[in-house]
Amino acid sequence: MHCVTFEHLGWPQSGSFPCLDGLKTIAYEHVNDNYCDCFDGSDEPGSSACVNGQFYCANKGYTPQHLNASMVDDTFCDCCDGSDEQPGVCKNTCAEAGAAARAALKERAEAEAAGALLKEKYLAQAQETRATWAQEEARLAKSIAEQQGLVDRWKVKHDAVLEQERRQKEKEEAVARKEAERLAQTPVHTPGDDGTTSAAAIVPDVTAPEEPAADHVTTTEAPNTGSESAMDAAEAVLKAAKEAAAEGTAQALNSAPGTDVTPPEEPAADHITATEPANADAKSALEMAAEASHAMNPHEAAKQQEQQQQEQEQAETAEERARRVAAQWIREESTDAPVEEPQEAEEAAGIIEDEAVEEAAAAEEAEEPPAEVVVPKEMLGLGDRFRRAVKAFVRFVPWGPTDPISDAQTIKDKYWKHHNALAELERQQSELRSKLKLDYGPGGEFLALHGKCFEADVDKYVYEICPYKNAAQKDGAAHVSLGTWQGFRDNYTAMAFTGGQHCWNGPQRSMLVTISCGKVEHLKHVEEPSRCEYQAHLTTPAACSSEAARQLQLEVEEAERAIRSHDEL
Amino acid sequence: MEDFKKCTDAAFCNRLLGARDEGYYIDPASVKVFGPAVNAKLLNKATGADFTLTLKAYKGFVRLLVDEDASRKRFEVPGVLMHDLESREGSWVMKAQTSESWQLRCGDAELQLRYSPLQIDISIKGQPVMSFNSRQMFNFEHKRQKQEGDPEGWWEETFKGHTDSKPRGPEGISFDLAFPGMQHVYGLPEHATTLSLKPTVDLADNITSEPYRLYNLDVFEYVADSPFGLYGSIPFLWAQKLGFTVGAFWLNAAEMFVDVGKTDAATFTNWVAESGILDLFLLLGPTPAKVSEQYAQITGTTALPQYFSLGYHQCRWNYRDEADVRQVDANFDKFDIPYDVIWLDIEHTDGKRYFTWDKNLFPDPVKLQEDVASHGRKVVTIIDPHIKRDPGYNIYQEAEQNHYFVRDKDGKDFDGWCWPGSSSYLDMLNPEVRSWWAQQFSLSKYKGSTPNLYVWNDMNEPSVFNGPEITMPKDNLHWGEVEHRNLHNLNGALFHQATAQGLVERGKAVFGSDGDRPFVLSRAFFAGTQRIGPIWTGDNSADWDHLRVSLPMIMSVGIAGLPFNGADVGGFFGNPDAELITRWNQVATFYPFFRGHAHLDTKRREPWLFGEDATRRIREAIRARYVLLPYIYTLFRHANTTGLPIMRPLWYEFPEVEATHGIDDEFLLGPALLVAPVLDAGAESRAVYLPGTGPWYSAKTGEVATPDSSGALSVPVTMDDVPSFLRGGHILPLRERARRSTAAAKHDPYTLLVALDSNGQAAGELYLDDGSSFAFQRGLYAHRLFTFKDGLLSSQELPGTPSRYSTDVAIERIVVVGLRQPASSFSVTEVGSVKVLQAGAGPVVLAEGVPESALVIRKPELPIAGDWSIRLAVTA
Repeated sequence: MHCVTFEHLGWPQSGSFPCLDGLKTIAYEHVNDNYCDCFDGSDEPGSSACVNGQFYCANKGYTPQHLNASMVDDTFCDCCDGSDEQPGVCKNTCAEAGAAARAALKERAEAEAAGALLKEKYLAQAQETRATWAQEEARLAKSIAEQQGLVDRWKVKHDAVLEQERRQKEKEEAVARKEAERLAQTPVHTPGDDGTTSAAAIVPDVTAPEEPAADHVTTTEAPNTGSESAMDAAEAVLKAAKEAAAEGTAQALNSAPGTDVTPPEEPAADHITATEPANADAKSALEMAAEASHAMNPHEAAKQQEQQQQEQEQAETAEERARRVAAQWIREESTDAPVEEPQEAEEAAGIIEDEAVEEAAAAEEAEEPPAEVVVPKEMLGLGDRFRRAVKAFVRFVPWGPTDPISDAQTIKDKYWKHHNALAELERQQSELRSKLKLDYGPGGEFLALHGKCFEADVDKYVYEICPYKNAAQKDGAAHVSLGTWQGFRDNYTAMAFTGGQHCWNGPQRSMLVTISCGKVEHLKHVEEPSRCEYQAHLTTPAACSSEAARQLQLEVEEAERAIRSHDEL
Repeated sequence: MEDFKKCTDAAFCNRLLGARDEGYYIDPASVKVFGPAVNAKLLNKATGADFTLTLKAYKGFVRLLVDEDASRKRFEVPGVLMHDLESREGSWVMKAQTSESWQLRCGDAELQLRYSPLQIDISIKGQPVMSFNSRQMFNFEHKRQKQEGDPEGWWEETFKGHTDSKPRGPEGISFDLAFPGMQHVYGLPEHATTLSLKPTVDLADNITSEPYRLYNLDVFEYVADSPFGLYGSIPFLWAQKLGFTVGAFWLNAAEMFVDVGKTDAATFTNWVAESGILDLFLLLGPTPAKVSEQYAQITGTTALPQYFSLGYHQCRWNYRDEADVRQVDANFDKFDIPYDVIWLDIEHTDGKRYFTWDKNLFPDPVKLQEDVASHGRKVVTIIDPHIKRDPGYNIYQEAEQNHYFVRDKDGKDFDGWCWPGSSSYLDMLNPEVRSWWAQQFSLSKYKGSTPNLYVWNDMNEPSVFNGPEITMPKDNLHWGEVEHRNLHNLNGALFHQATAQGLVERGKAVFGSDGDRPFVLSRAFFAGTQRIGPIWTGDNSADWDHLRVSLPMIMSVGIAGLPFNGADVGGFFGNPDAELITRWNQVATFYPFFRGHAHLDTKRREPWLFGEDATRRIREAIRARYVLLPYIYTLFRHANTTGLPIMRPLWYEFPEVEATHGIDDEFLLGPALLVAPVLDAGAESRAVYLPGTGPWYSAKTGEVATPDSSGALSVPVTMDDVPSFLRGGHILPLRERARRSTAAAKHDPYTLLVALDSNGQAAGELYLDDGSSFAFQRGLYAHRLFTFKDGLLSSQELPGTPSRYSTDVAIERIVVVGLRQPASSFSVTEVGSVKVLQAGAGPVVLAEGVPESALVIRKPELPIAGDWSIRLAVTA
């Protein structure tokens, strides 16, 4: 039991004592007598008698503290003045603790002040940047209006050319239909029944001839014939494409508008999708390419794993079995399973990126490709030699254009050039508008973090967070997504990233970055408190405030005054 | 489960389970009595094979031994039987002898040995209780030469691609044991199933489920109701009918299956083991406590645990690094939740090389342990039995050079896979290996360890990821060319024992001759493990089924002589929600071993992570544990001296109440506290059965509980409630102050909670010692006896104890419930003193809303370890 002075509590000094919760009144001599009487523990401020009591340490020279009663008289020193234990048990360490706390406070105050100055710069810069962006937006709006005029003018000419060509094509198609009917009588390979991709499997039905087509070569309209000559031609195309890829001449066709490989369905698209999947069952060309580019694709890997498990166990080596059983416990992907790339499917379905194309082409180089006839997506962007090859193929096709270079072509080129320039301007406008819409904090101070990334080394990993973008864990070349930007949380004291790479049998990875004031941006304390839920802390001047700096400075002065008066006593 | 064998997958079980042979008979001329032993020659008519049979009388039990002649040495389980077993021997009194049988008597028990076919019937006070071979299922596969045309499975068998070469051929043993008039059998752990074992065959001997299997296995995500074998095995079965409780213990460490069949007339059991000998102890009871004592006389009692180890343990696979450990430690203080031990799982090591530390994650383990210990707490590290085959690893290197590893059938060091990858396994059958292993725990050898570090032995079944059934091949060879099949179920206990021995030796080196009690948690266990340390029920799951089954599992292991055990709180696999984790902690308050643990893939689940309400309730559950610790420690002292369980089935205390015999969703903590925890999601009430005539008092209000005439009571519950009842006639010693650890409570005063029986009487005990050393073995302890009778509450030393422990700790509160007159009408005085003690009506627990139903004596300041008496007198 410890003597307490009740001054700080404002309690009566005699008579009866009403428990602070108002539920009971007890005899005054029962207050602080090392026996708990009040439900709220308020009668025992100086002992451990009440399970919910609070003990007050004055901690002169340091900060006063309310301690759980459970820590009073337990032989372990908690208050720096040692008042929670019997005399002689604890050393008074308040002077040291106070000095250290004052030093830390001072440091914090300085950091806050310095950070607050920087924050002013951030705010000014943000204003400037936003003004620039606004100007840029206005400029873009003007350019777009001008460009739209150009496009409109050229569209008239372009459409006239198309009409002319349509008529020409109708004639040619009549010839082609006859040829198709002749070919249809030869045996046709049945597509897709064994899951392998044959030429026929990915070639669509011949319905296109009914549609008015321009001079764009729609390679999806390759004949569904299976004729040897067509196959040969396709192989030649593929071979040429491979060669082109091998020479490193890969180049996106979308940078060369007006070429003759454009789907008629989407004339406005600024990139060229040479073929859509022929039907729902057929694998997209890119998927096939991806298959070729991996030693084993995820489907096959899964299938094979399943098979392995079904097989007699003696087929497993001891090590394999051990790894499988261990994996069962620790739920880890087996080491030879392919690393999941969540975006893969989306990419396959959507925009083709140069990298993917190059990879696919390289893979084809490495291996004998399946017998594809259709010009697959992976051949896009392969440059001149590819286009030549396509043209060679197209020439073979009876209804192909007989004279691709003409004045008409010049008109079309012009139209597409302007069209694409407009699209690019619109893209820039939309990008700028997105940037303008983002939340940069109350005064725009967090705009300074836009486009920046911060890293922290922890063990063998490097953690990287890019505000407004994403977070990742990097281990050499391996790159695991910890989520994409979800915005600020808790009044700009944290940033959230979610929807990262899936944990095996677990959640998608996520990262929560708490923010506090600091002189510089510094990412630290990266932790994974729960499986696949990451946390980190970022200091930044953007989180500083001059008000807080002033407050801290007052605290520093107050602390120094207090210690001077304490020393004088 | 497809990784694991059923009876039909094991050749010996296939041959022997349910197999009858009427041809076993005793040669009448061979029967001889030597003091406690009857010796006879047992023969088989068809094969002509002969065996030795010995029937030995002990005080309270009978031992039946059958073996082949010495030319075929069979394995006998070492180290389990107590050294002083001989001192328990009784002697046979001949009652009658004919050409067909002998009738013998020993104490209350009568035994008839019939010659042909062999049969042994035991009755107690004229009541038949056990019958051996009444169904002629005894088989003993004798030594034979391998011949062309031998049945499949005799000399080799294959399971899931693993071939077991069986150079010794068939050597299985089976027998049937009937329990006349008994409807309930219990025990035979470890299984995740009901306490009263469900039949596995029907009346017509048709198989209705797999037999209960005893084979120590690392079962991934075990299901909550199954007869399959788990991590430990104790071939000890209880059987009960009104007035008679008996037991049967087969000392055999080989793979075993047991069928249970029930008819109106009896419960039949059929036991088969793959090898070893028949060494069967028949325990004659006739009360549950007597059966426990008899079993303890055979295999020993529970080691007196470290006091701290009865507190709350916080474990997780894995506390990542030093900062994580410090953070968790600090949070317990911040949230004012007591705990005693923080645990480090396998990730703390350098590449799963035990006795090492990951230098990045745990750069300064000594400082870390010192900091944790600065609040009286301890650290546990995991030390598993698989040794990484790494020539640069000193443990491997030494063991390899000294030939300390188990060998494969070709004589090479066995190479199996576990956490570190390719591993070898120490041969703990070899005493030299155990002794060498023990030395590794010295502070000088175990770098980074301190006296505040204790140990956890996991995976010691042993778990071998690429072995048959995730364990070791049976034809592996141990010391003395013993095949692994013979000692499989003992393997983990030997490892556990060697580890505990290491801590005993460390304690003596650090603290002198009184030393320091070891604390080593094991997953695998066998008969006798109680002498080493606690076990837990392995890798359970975060669901309500696993919460429910934890009670029968803990009680089943407990009545099998190993009461220091518990289940992972919250469930190892999966993520409990706030309700489940709250309820689980509320149940675990009463687990003999109380540890929260979680799998690597689970979300963090320290007690403060489920919202304010859950944090408060979990805090209360853990604090309730600390309040009960003086009572629980006293229960452990009884387990230590006589072998009584801690968490007890209702029938254990009320065998005379038949309705209790099938209950396993309630239990008693010791004799005095009945708990009917909430085991269902969303419960609004709990159906409780209160046995006997009571009175029972609500532990929450102190008021008398009033069940209906059948003993049933429906108790409304909120998330705060854990229906529990004080048994009239008992006094519980408590420590009510909140503390952060057991060490922090060392000087705290006590409360005595007196619950009167219908005669206004009560009694209780408190065992006191230093809580950590072996000084109690030289009498440095106090064992207090509190009695209340005729208004006089007295404290005295339990007769026959040395009372050589002194403490100045006092009693701060005495609470009496069940007084006939209003509490306000009493005046309380200390006998021999004029001082009137402060007393009056008060609540049984100080909390808002609790009725003032008890007499509360305020600050009597009586010495907890001193003699005194106080008198309650009615003044009005």
